[in-house]
Parts: sequence; structure tokens; C-alpha cells
Amino acid sequence: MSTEPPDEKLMADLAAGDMAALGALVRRHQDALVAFAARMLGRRDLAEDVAQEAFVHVHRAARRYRPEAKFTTWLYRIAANLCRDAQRRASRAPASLDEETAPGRDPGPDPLEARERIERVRRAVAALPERQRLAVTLHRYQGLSHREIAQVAECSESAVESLLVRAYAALRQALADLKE
Amino acid sequence: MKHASDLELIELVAGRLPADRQEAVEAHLAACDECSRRRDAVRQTWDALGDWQIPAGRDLAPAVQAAAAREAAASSRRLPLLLRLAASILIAVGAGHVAGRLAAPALHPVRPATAADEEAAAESLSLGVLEQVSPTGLPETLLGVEEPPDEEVS
Repeated sequence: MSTEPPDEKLMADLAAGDMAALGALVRRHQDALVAFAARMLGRRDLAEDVAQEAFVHVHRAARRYRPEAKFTTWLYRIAANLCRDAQRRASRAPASLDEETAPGRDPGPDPLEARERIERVRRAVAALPERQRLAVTLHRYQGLSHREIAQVAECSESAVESLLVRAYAALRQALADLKE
Repeated sequence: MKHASDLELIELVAGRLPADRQEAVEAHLAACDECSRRRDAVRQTWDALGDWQIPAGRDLAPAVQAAAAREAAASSRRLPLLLRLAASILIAVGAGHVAGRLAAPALHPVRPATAADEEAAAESLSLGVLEQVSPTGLPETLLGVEEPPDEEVS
């Protein structure tokens, strides 16, 4: 049985010039990173560009990388900064639902209702202040711990906990009337 | 037990409370309608957020590897260019220094001055005026001419 090399080993290989290691890192993390960027930006059309740019940053910084924090928290920090830049550049015109979202569960007998639910969620997340959106996205969708979120957001764990409580409270209010 | 905190309810719904804490909170919820309702509200939000899934897209690896290779190639081209520039400057400075040393004797030949040279130089500087008697006595001082001692008045 073969075991996949850990991210840190792939980073060491990449620093030594092994471009195949870069490909392995991209394939391992691209779906999560694109999803993270799509939720941070509120649109899918820019998310792949941000994710691609983040991986090019990883290649550029490979020799300076020190595995003091988990590779994924470092990667999300790069992507979060790139999302901030992309958001500043991009026009605020929302992308169409068709290209940016997909129902997470069986849409049921009424696909239109399912699409409307998703759009409500997307708007509620987009309406959060940026740091709350970052904390809740990393917590709800990426499954990061408070400590890992603190490393990405470059703040304390208690600050993260406060961000999470406020973010979930705002989302509860915005989505309270959605049917189960 | 006191009421569960908002954060505890979030982590309970997320399934990320430590086992002992989870047991304690659930025991409290079984007896507390208020906290139980709060937990249900958190779960409703959690599930609604779960409806928003992002489908997987294209494989980014080929594009990332190509962009990284382009960057690496551009960076390796930049380095030799800088090295060539630095080497050119060093060579130019060194060649200039050597050429200067070699050319100096030809441009500025040095030979001992003759008596004729000294006379010509003295004439061009009108040093003759210094030989005239001056009321200030300055020429004598400059030329080192000794004045005759004053005659003592008897």
C-alpha cells in the first residue's frame, strides 16, 4: 500500500526544483482552495484565477517556506490576501448562479427553490464583514480549528471565537426564514 | 450547569466539541428548553450554509506548472543579464585604469627643468618686479635678500 507524501515533503521537493511536486500539491488542494476563494469572493468566475495565482505564489516562495505552521493554513493565508486584492480590483457585478453554485443536497422536487436558497446563503455570507466571512468560511466549509483560523487571519484564538459567534448570529438572522 | 455558550452550541452542531464537554452540554440541553431551542437555531443555520456547495472545476496543475516554469525561466534570464552588466562595468573600469597608467608618460613627459626653463617661467610670471626696491620690504622677505644692517647713529 502506497502512502501519499505529506505536504511538507512535497514543499521540500519543490524547493529542490521538482515541478512534479508542485503538480501534486495543486491536485491535492485545488478543489478546496477554489471553493474557499469562491465563497470569499461570492463568485465562482474569479475563484480559479485566485487559486492558480496562490499556487504560483507557493512555487515562488518554496525555498523560503519553513514548515512551522501547517501547509494548508499558509496556503489559505496566501489565498485570503489574493481574494482581498481581487475583490478590490473586480467590479461588484454578481456572477450568474449557473456558473458559481451547485446545490449541496438533492435539490428535491423544486430546483428553482433550491437555487433561491443557495442564492440567499451566498448573499448572507457576502454581506458579512470580511474578517467574519473569513472565519466562518474556514470554520464551516474548510473545517479548520480555531487555532488554524487564527493563523490564517493572523489574530488571536479569542478574536476568532468572537468573529465566529458574531458571524453565525448574523447568518442565523439572515437565514432564519429558510425552510428546513 | 449554567447555560451553554453560543460558541459551545456552534461547536456541538459542528461535531467538534471534546467528548467530555459534548456529554455535559447534551445533558444540559436535555433539561433546558431555552438552550435546546438555541441549539436548533444554530443547526438550522449550519444546514442552510451546507446547501451552498462549489462544484469542482478544471485541473489547475498544468496552468500552474506552466506559469511557474515561465517565471523561473524569466528569473534565470534576469540573473545572467545582471551578471553580464556587472562584468562589463568591472572590465570597463579596469581597462580604463590600465590605459590611463600606460598613456600618462606619453601625454605628460617628465624631464628635469633646465636653467632656460626656470628663466622662461620667471619671465612669464613677471618675477622681475620683485627685484625692484619696494618701500614695504616684502620682496626682500620673499626673495631672502638680506638688508644691510642699519648704520648706528652715533
